[in-house]
This record gives sequence, C-alpha cells and structure tokens, in this order.
Amino acid sequence: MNRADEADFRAFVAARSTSLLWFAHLLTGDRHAAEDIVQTALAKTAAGWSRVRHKENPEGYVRRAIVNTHLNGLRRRPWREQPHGDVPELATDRRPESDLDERDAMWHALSGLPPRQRAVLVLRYYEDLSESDIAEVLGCSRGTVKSQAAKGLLHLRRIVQKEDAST
Amino acid sequence: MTDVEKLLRQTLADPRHRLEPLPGMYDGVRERARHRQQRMVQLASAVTVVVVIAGVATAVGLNTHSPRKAQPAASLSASPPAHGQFNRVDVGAGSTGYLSVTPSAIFLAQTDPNGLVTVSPSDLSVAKQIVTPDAVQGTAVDEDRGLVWTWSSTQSTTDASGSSASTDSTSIHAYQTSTLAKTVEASLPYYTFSAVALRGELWLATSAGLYVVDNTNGSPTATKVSGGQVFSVAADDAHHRVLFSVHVDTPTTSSSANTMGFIAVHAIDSNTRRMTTVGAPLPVGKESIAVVDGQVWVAGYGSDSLLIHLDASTLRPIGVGVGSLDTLDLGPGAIVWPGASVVWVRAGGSEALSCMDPKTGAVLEQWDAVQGPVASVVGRAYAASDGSLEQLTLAGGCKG
Repeated sequence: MNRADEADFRAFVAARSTSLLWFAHLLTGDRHAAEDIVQTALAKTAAGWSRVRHKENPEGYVRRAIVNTHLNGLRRRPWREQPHGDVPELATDRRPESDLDERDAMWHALSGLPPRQRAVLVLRYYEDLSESDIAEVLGCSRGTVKSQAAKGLLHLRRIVQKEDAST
Repeated sequence: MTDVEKLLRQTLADPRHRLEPLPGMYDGVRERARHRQQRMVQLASAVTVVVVIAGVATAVGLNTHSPRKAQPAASLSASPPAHGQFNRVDVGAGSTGYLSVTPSAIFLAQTDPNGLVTVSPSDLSVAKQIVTPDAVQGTAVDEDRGLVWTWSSTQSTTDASGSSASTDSTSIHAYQTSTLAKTVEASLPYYTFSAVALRGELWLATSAGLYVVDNTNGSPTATKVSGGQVFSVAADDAHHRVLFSVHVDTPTTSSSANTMGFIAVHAIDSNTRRMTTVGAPLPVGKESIAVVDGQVWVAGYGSDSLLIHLDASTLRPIGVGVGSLDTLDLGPGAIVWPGASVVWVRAGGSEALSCMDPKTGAVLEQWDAVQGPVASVVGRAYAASDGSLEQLTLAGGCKG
C-alpha cells in the first residue's frame, strides 16, 4: 500500500469502524467475534485498497467481506461463545419497557438462527438489500435467499410468540 | 410487512447493539494484514518451488513413465504440513453444529430440526436419529459407560423496574450410544461453556464454576467442585484428573496490554474431586484446553502467547507454539480440540484448521476451508462445518 492509499485506508477505518462493528455485531451477536471479523475483513481488504477505494461503494465491499468472513471463517463459534454479548445500557432512550422486552426477545431469538439464515435477515432488514443482491453477496441463488429468509422469519415468529406466551 | 419483520427491523436498528471500537483498532488491522501478506508470500514461494522442481523433474525425464515419481521431490520442497482435503457427507436436512466420534459411531447434534443423529463410520449412512427437546450446544461421549451426553444452555435477560436480571440455565441429557434411548436428564441454573465426559460423569465449565453431574446410582446429581467462571474443561484420563481454566485477572483496556485478562489452568482429581495443581497465569481469554498423550495444550485469544504447551505436572508453560509458529498464522488467537493422537488447532489469523503433533508442536496437515468443531479417532476425523458434516482426509502423518 502506498502512502496515499494507507492514509485513505486509515481514514476509512477511523470513520467507519463503529458502523462496521455494529453490522458485525448484528451478524454474530458477540462483541469479540464482531471485532475479530471486522479486523480480519479489513485486513483482507487492505491489500487491495488502492483498487477498492475507487469503487463506487467501498464500504459495501467491506461489508461483503465481513459477511463472507463470518460465514466462511472460524467466527462461527457458538460452541465457544455466549451468543448474548454484553449489551450496553440505554442511557437516554425512554421507550416503553414492553418495546425493549420485545426487542430483547427478538435479539435472543436471532441467536438461535443458523449463521446463514441470520446473515440473510440482517442483509435484508438492516442493510435493505434486495434478494438478488443478497444472493450475490452469499454466492447462492435467489431461491435459496427466499427460503432462508422464510425459514428464519418462521423461527423468529415461533420463538417470539413462545416468549410472549411465557411472560 | 408483518409484525415480526417490523420488530426484527427495530431490533437490528436498536442502538444498544452499537459497538465502539477499542483503541488501537487500526493497529490490529495492520498487524493482521501483515500476517496475511507474509502467509501469501510463503504460499507463493512454496508453490513456485514446487512448480520449478516438478518442471525440472519433468525435464530430466523422472516423470516420463509415472507422474507419481515427481511427488516426493515436490513434497520435500513444499512447506512442512500437507494440504488437507475433505469431503462433505450428506446426513439429511438438519444443520450440524456439534459432534463426537467413537471408533464405531459419529454422533451429530443438529438444529432445524433439533435432533441427535448417529452416523455409521463405515458407509456414512444415518443409523439412528432422535428428536431432542432443545437445540443441543455440545456433545461428549463416554465410551466406557456407553453414553453420549448433550447439553443446551440458555441465557435470558429481563428488564423490570429499571433493573436487569439474568437467568441462565443448562439442560443436560445422556443417551445410550447404542440405542439413543434417554437415560439421564438433569439441569443446572447456570450457563455452560464446555463440558467433558469421564467415567459416567459429565464435568461442566459454567458461568458459576466447575460442576459435575454424576449418574452412577441411577439418579443424577449435580455437585459444585470449584467456583468462579470456568470457561474450559478437559479430561486427562491417564492421570485420573480433570483440567479446567479459571479467570485470574481482570481485563485491562490499555491497548499495549493483553485485553483478554489472564487465566490459570487447574487440575482436580476426578476421583477425590480435590484440587491437585494450580498452573501459572496465562495471558489469554476464550481459552480451550486439549490433553493428548499426556501433553497439555492451551489456546486462547489475546495479545500474544496464543498457543501454549504446558508442563503436565506443574501446568506451567514449557513452550509457546513449539515448532508451529512459522506455519500457523494465529492472528487474534486459536482454539484447540483433543484428537486421539493429535491436537487440532483452529488458527484465527489464517482461519486454517491444523493437525498438530502434541509432543513437538509440528503441524502435520492443514485445511483451509473447514470450519466448526472437530472430533477424531485414530484414522478418522470429522468437522461440523457450516452446518454440514465434513470428513477430513488424513495424510502427512496426521493420524487423527
């Protein structure tokens, strides 16, 4: 990496790392895993930054690297890590407690999804990607994306309903 | 948009899931990039040397009659570990997350749907299959007693009246290995990180200490053996003991220091349940322990010393990544699993799975694209990779 590329890459990391970490946290549900994934994806991207920085959407490229690092790499370690990482307390939000409870139940339910299903839902409902774009990111067909999303939503619906019934 | 979709969208956008990067994040990225670059250069060099030697061998006629004759020359020149192959095994619709292996069976814990599956190692067909009451998060086989143990932990957080409370629990089951008939059912009010089966007992590393579930008199009882948060546990059957790790320091936020804190490996007599040895502090977190042929290895995540060979009697380090640091790009850390005669190492930097000699630390074989936990017996090794069962092809001195 030449000096200009390195300066640009450093600026990108400084500006976008919080957002990338958030995204990775949604994929993994675990702070340490999220940090690992983001650092690995950025390290992979660094080598080709002179090319990546001139793309229309460099951050989108890095996010794809994050998804693929997560799905292909050792980051999928539910056998080693608690899926419910330390969730920071809300300092100023004054939403009704029931909303928070619902979201906590949903976050808990997300942790029970297989990684690929979870990735499909995060890309669809957080990144707002189309089915075609998700298929391209994950290297699968649109049909697979649709079925994974449907399965994932069904699982979430069941879990959330079960938790609602138990409270 | 359905209610679930709306709630999912709100949950994903919930600012409580936002993370702030730790200081020195860019330095970490640069370090990993440097590791990757070094590894690429090593791989490229190895490939170049192999190609050159194969070309020379062909040119001088060694390859004229049998293409295989070039292979010894190539293997001598390549980097030490063999490049491993693997085959995906079709075991039905479920997603495989955990596995245990014996000489006569492979036990798979699956989700979607939840179940426990026995696969025959001879033809890799599904021999038995049962539905489990929950999504299993770990398996352990007790060959002596013919039991396969499973456990599943949940952690629920409630927020009422401005205060938070956390409720952990683990449900534990044991099934006959031959029939998968359920024989033990127990529970613990704590989160289980890992567990190991030993002579009719299941030893659990939990959020509230080391516990042992004993079913010797037909009625399961859970006993607390040691306190504190215990993250990893391993059986050392030859010495009638269980090793486990205890957090002994608090993490520091200083970017120059190890952020994962320190752990110490402890040994406890599996018969008397008395502590016999307390090891030296080790600068790792999210650690794992593997005991193979009397050799003790610890891996974890942290700033350095991520793969540590311990003296079996004192549990103090006798080497760090002995013989393997040149081959393993550990990056942020590693995980170890015990094999029958090897230690399996998942390296964070290269994301490779390695088969390591427990005595020398030499890497015998390496796989690039096999994820998930690994289990092996002599001559056979398997991984639960991305929801599927992968059979690893053993070569290069890796005996499984």
